[in-house]
Amino acid sequence: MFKIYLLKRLARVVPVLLIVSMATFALLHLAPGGPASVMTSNPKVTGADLERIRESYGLDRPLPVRYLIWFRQVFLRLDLGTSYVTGEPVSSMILDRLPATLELMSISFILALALSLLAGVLSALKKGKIADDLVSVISTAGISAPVFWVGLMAIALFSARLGLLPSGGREAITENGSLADRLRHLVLPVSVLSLAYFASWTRYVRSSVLEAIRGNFVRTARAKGLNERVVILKHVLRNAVLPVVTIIFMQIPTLFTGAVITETVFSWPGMGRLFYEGLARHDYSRVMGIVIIVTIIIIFFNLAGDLVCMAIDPRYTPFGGEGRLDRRYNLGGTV
Amino acid sequence: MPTILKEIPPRRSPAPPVLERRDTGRVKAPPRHRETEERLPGTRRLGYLSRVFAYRPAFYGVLLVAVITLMTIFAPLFAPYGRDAIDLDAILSPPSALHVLGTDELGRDLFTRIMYGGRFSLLVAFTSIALATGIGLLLGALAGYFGGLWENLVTGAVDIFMSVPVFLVLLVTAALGGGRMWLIPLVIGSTMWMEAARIVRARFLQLKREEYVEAARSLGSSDLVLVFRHMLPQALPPVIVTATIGFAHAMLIESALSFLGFGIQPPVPTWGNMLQNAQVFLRTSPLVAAAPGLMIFATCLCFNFIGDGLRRALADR
Repeated sequence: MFKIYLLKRLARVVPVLLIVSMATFALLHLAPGGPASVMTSNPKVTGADLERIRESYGLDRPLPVRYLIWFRQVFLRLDLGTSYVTGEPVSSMILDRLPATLELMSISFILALALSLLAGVLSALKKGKIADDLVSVISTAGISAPVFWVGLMAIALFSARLGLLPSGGREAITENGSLADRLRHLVLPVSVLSLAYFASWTRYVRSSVLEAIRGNFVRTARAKGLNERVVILKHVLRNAVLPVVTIIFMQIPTLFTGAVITETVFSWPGMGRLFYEGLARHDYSRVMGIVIIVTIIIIFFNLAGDLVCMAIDPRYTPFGGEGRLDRRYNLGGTV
Repeated sequence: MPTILKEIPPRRSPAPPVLERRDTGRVKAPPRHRETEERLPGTRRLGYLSRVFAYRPAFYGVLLVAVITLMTIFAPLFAPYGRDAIDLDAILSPPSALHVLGTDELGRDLFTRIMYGGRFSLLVAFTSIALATGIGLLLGALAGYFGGLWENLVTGAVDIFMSVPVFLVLLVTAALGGGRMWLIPLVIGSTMWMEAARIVRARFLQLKREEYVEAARSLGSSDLVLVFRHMLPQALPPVIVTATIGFAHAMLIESALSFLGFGIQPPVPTWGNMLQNAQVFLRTSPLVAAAPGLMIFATCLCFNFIGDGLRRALADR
């Protein structure tokens, strides 16, 4: 059964990847001016130059042919092409920026996950008490506040007004990359990014724990005289937390997309800002490369998440059937 | 030793049936159908809306949203200045008698622009979520009602949309759209329909087995009547909850796009694009950044509270 499911699920990956890449490709190449439009603004580039440039990038061919060429290049030769603006290979640009993004994301993710598990479980166990209300107010505020605005306000307060923390960047040039300096630069972006995720995940953890508490197996456990601590730890949490954590892990790719905003606000030299700059400078090969990489990451995490959910609960279906688990589409927290 | 009752205790006379009388003097009909369920002592069964408003934050949320909406609709009546009017003597001025919230870097009155800015922020969020809910209802109903090919198509589409780095594609589309305003709600809406579709489909799978649907079908109702008249209304409440919370989400997305410079373009103000240049002036005039963001925050908070209220009332049914 599981093997059949795995095969079916894998078979769905191919069309998804094809359609997403085709759509993005078409979008970028059908845009007014096309990928070479950035050259037209350069007064030194003549019409003949432009033709030559188009030809050298293969932009004079029809769209489907260009897609096939691009497809062969990316998926068979694993080459994301070169930037139209800087001439650098896109893959090396991404690899340059990846560590900064991973650093920011992994710390924020771990922090948000730990805090939301704590707060979510606490607020579910203390349902209706002050602690629950407090957590619910914080998390509702967290999902309602635009991440970039929280970032701006944090900069205004802690950096501009109080002068406690740097307003952006990954390290100060003068500090030669000392650990303390890098940590100081991490404080604001990590707090802002993790607040957003904390807010949405906490609500999810809470509702999952509450759902588990209502289960018949909890009544059974209590009826057979187990002490409440054992009931909560071994019966409720084990059943509530595992699926939530799996689904939260499926959210990891949204950290990449959310990074666009956080990294722009805090001038963080990561992939998100690379994408934003690429878009602003019409560097379409860079934009396309990043979109395709993030798409692959998303597909991978969705697949892995589905399989883990399936292993935990055989009733699970990705689109939410009769099973207890369903993939939450709108966990928010990215903007 | 068993206690022997000397006398049978007097049976308490049954309480006379309480017939509530309204002012009209008519006897209130007893409720026709009432599930027995636990209810906190002293609470009585309320109408759906009253139950929503029993959650106080939802009540204040509705009030505040109403105030904000009216304020933006009637902005031309109440705003102290014109939308793009420039006061060259007061550039980045702090709050004063002339400019309640101060002015921005071009000397435009911040309070005025906030009133006008809400128009597009609210409108974009509303059209986006209306579109998303419409698509979701339609596709969810098709998948749930007909199953088979429709089901595969819709779940396939969901699969695809779930694999798209939505925010990146939104940015690309908005950036390439070149400031065409109608494009923004279109792209936001077309990436937010999956939740509604999922809910409607799941609900339809249950409803298909219900007796009343069977009855309607055996009376000869067509598919259209069954879906739109009998089943869709039953699937609506949870979708409304999602749409309310989605409204806040759509507003956040619009503001993020506008903040990054790819959304609605100036000089048309939205709460998002007013923050675009604010970062530069954070040190000198933080209010330019604080005020529009606060409006987004307050509005989204209201919608999230209303959504929570709706959900609680639904769960409490």
